Amino acid sequence: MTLFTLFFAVAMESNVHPAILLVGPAGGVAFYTFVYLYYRNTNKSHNFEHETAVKVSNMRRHDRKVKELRGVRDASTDHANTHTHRVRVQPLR
Amino acid sequence: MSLPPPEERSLPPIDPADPLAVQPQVQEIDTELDKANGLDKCPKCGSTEITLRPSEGLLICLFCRHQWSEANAEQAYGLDTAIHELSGTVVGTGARNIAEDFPTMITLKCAGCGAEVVVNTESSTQARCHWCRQTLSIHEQIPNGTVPDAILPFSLTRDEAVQKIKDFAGKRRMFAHGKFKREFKPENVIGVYMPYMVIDGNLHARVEGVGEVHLRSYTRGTKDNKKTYYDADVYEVGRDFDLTVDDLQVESSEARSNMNVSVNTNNIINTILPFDTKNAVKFNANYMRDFTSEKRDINVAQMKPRVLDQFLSIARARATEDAPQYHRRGIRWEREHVDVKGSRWIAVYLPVWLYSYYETKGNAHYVHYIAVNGRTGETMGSVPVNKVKLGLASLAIGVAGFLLGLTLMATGGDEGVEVSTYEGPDTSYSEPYDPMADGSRF
Repeated sequence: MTLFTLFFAVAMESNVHPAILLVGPAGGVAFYTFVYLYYRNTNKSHNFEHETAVKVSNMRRHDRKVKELRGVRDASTDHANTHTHRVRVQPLR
Repeated sequence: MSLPPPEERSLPPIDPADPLAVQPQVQEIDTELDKANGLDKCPKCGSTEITLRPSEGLLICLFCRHQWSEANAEQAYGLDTAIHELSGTVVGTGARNIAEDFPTMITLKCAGCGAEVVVNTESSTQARCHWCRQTLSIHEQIPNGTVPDAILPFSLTRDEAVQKIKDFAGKRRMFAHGKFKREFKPENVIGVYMPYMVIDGNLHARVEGVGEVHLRSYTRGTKDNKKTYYDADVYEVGRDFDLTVDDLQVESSEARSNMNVSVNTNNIINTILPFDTKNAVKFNANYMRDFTSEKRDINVAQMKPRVLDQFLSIARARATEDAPQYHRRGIRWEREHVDVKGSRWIAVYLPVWLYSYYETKGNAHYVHYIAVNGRTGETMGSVPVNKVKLGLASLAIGVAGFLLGLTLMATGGDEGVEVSTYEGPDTSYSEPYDPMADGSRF
């Protein structure tokens, strides 16, 4: 019996979802990434957006409801860029 | 979407290609010192043996022990005027354009003995006369970027910096490259004055996009086929506001501005920002006596695109903070603009304790820095990784997890428990937010 057929047989018999087999390898990848970044800090930079003194005034807000979503599966706004402040979008003319 | 028209302004139309170009002309703030290049003597005894005592933040004459400090630059040069009143581009004379082909090796005539002394302004602003041993200093704002408008002296001592570097590397020993561990000598740290531009901005920002307000979530289905569904309202979102940015700190060296992590670790030095630039003082070369320096090599005009990009990022962050009702599902910002009504640019030397480690990769060299903010002590670094060791450890975790999963599957429960269909909202239900309810928004 090959290893694959063994896995297949176990998967068919079990009530546990086969996706649990991916948890271990994913944990290994996550561990590598976490440790690498902890040592190399290639993802770090000055958080100038929040560490620079800024004063906001004369705030004018526009919030207009345009649509209702009911019973959708998406948990978040399509292509949301809520916190990716450094990724530029279209210039406003 | 239509926002109300912005308030009428007296500024000329914006050139979209360069919004900073709306500023009509450059005004200068004179920060030139009332001193000529050459001997800079102790005001009490006339000696040129003057250095910085970091623990006190004071200059000290090594001959008579007299101590003093230069005046606060912000107050001395009137840099503390209201930012919201800034108009046009205001530049300190220490941030003037660098003249092409201006030499970096400056020859001074020693006033003590008449000898000619060469100062290499790439890494210093002082040199000692070989004949009479007096120290000669560069104080004039020669157009090669050497003398800035102000300097922020080191206040963290060398011993404190060494300890911080040891602590930082000590926490990263297990997977550090063996050669790095063997060759690690934090005592080799050097104090470097790095060139930065400190920028104030008087801005008007406008951002627009789409945001969704979460109303409720609920699950439907049986245990094996349970799905989560959401109800939400979609909004056009716009934020139009004034903002002032105080002391944005940006590298004014071309090499240090390159943050490509595949070829350098300049992001490490960038991460230890910000500095308490409000405490910068008038320039005095004696602050740099026991340290090395890198001089500014780019001009205000070259820095404008990068600074504008940072202004836009700050504006986006503030707009997002002002719209918390959309944070759960998120906002898709689609358009943005910053109008720079006024900006002020001051060239400053900032203090960094720097430990460098050269990693050799074939014929190429890669420099890993561990940097310590010479004022706040904030520390950041890059420690080379033993990738084989880390890879094997990760593989072991992956295999162990896989085998554990297999075991769980093999010994999994006999029968699943059937659950009833759930039709109501789950515990994550929240009251819908209506941003129009207060009537004050349009």
